[in-house]
Amino acid sequence: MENNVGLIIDLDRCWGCKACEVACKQELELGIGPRPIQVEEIGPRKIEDRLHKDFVPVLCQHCHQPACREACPTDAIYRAEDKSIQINPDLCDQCAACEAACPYGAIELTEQYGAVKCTLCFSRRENDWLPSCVQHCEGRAFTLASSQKLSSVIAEKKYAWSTGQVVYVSNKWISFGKALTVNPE
Amino acid sequence: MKIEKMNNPRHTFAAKLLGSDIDSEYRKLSSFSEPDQHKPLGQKTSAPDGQQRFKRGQIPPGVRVVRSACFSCNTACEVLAFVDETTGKVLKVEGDPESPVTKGVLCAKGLAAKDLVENPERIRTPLKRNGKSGEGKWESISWDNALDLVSEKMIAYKAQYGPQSVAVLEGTRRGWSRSYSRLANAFGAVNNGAAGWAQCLWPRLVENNVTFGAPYLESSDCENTKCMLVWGVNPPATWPVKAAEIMDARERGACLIVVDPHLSETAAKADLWLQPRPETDTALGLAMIHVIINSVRYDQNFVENWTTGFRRLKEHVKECTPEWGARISRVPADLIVKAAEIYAGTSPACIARCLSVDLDHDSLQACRVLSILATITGNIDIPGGNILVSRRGEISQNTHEFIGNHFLPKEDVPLRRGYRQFPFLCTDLCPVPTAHMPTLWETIGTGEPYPVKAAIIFGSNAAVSYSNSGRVQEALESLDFLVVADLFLTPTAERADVVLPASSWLERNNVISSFQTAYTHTIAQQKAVSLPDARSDVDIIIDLAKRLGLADKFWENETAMYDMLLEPTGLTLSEFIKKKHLYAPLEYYRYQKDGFKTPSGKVEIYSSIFEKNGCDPLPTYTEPFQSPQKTPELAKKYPLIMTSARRPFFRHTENRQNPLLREQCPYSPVRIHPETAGKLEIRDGDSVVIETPTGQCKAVAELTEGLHPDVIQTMPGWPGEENVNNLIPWNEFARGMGTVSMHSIMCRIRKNESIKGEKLHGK
Repeated sequence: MENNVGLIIDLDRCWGCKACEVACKQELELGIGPRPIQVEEIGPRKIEDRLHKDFVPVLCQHCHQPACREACPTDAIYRAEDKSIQINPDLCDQCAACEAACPYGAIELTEQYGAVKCTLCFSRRENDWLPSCVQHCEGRAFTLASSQKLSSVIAEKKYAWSTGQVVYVSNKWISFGKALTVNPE
Repeated sequence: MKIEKMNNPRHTFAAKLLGSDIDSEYRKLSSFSEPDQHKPLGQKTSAPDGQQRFKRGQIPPGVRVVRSACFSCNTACEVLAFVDETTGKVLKVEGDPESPVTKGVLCAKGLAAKDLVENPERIRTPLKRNGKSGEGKWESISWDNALDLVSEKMIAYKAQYGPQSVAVLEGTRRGWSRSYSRLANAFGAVNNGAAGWAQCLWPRLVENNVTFGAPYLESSDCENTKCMLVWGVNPPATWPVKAAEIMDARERGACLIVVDPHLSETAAKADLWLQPRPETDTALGLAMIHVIINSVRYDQNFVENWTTGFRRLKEHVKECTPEWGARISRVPADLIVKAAEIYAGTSPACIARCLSVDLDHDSLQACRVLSILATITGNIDIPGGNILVSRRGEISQNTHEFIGNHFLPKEDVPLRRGYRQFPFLCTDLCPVPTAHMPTLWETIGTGEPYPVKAAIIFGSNAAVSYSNSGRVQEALESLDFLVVADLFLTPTAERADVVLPASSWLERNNVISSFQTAYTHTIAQQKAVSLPDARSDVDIIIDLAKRLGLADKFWENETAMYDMLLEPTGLTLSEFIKKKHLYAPLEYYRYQKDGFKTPSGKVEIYSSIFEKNGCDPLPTYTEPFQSPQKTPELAKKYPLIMTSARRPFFRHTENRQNPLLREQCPYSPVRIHPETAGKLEIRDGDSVVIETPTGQCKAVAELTEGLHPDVIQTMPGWPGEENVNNLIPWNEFARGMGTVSMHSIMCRIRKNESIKGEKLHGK
């Protein structure tokens, strides 16, 4: 398994079909309720006489400076060897501080499953399967890459944005700016 | 504004990321680029994870992986079922990364498919109804008792009222192949059919036979194309493999033109989006043909050597100017010209079409316009064009021979309802001749012109899935005897006298092929799990045939049937299951060897078969049965045009029981333009009532600027009060085919005052 793994999301390739949402829930064995990945629809909005509708899969960004980890009073949230952010359920006392702290709404505290978020399919990758969202995406919008390879993909695109191990790229638009760091803390 | 979204940090983040908070500095758009400015076609983009992407990983200990094919729609995507070796339970269903067709992709329906075997509502044993229809009093009976009862009743009705008194009806045929049609024909049931046959696929099949002498034009070769004209289909919602192909082709620089009244997921990614008024496809297509011929962008060589009737077509479309097309379709004339010029000026180019042309009020002609577009531009059977697929490995089941058409006594055939009116559906002109269903339902309900006493229904939720559902439900109630084979106690099964528990695709061996992929392929479906008392449709059909005294017209068992189907491959079913699949790439230019199997041996732009059978030999535009132009009086009271579309989570009436899919779409939605909604004081998330003179239904409003203000878009397949089919009348039908027009229904909409809107805003 790669260490320092990253997930590239090409927004130009997201169809908004939500196969990733169901793939993820099946992999993490979740019922109704939590959605570790959720595709948000932006638009339709008219820009320069053309109607646009875009989709953004929102999930744990595996931040370089995770607000959830800062907020967790029991140190249940940690950075794994592959640089992904993981939750240790044995240490979690379900206080929901992480849920409130995450700026992306990417952690949900549930009665049934505890704190739930994207694991970058840690256990799949151990068996050489791609994360379920990456494999099943109908637009092949997701790419799993080591962070060395990330930069070559990003270089081909006009816009990129990242705050951690997840990188959004697009040739159309990303407004958060182009500044990008690919190396975690 | 959408209240739920405003408070959602995920949405806030997504909106910020894409700059929807009006920050003009970042509004850099990739402007529309002409095809010659697109990247040259090259190798497929190689993703950094490419090597891993198309390989299976290791199987965890204690888990068995069964290779099969998903039946959540007709595409038949190859999948892996992960089964717990100890408990025998299906742990998950995934795409197969090593499938050359899907390359591992799978949609929400397939990914959530294990619910089919897990759901506590599955019917576990054959059931006999005690008490009245709908009372829910059931008695478990044995298979022997159930099938004896069914066969005795069928024989008795046939003896007393004639073979036409027993209707044999089906759904989407995913699992019983055409053995069910064979059962109907062997028994003598001239009144067999399905909800979909005049509404989905058959108009295209019939039209292709007429135009090309080949049954399928559905293989759009996106892998090798430079231009895709996606007409009235939204692949990310309904056709995942095609969606993946389109996205890859886009990445290679192929141009994407989308025709859709709604800004669908596909339209949102288009280089050029045409937004026609619903069911004006024929006018739009004819105007494009006009442009192509007038600007001499057609393929003169192909037209001269391989077609008949081009000169007549040229004369025929003389008046079909872009301005004429624009007046009818509302697509601006300059966009019609642009679309025609790009499609005809880019070679190769392909058309991807699906059931929206089948649902047209003049379905055969709407299909023909697109076939003519592909023909005059020379895009037939060339790499990157539309490929005529006729051979798919196994013996074709859509033939008169396989369905045992010859078993029917000739003098009985004209008794079939619709026989005289709809020759392309009900006579031998159709590959699988069937009854015209609305006419048959009226006969069932009224007893005119003869009594229909019993119905045997396999895999069809007829009470919900047919248009004019109120009438269908009345007809179902008037039957003396109803048998339903299905997975769940659907609103149709609830009315049955006998219910037979069918198996889902995860529980059976099967051989299938799909026309919806760019390969000529045949795949094995392999049993992953068993439910004690559920039986496959084919198994039930063969057993029933034996009890009806028809054993000599059938196979010993289902394995024998699949062995026979596989004969051309030289494999038996058990050998084939080990092999899993057979693939052959598309065959190009086959016509150069074999010609076209039409009466003239050429592509018949001017159709001799249509001419002989009372249909226009060249397509002419007619107004929809209902539209502001055609029925202005109706439009005064019912001013909105209702069309419909699917979402990625359900197919027809299926999957409403699946919690993961239902979570994605909990209720029947209706899309409305904010301007229209504003006038009616309807807010996003409000419960509304949609009405036509035929009926009404409830839905939840979704406001979107992606529609014209006078068009609303519903979603079919919901039961009960949410059933949009309640609204669709049976006043007129498409010529020759009998299609019920479903995308241009005049309606009105109002807020549902009995429900407080606020209740539906929350999660």
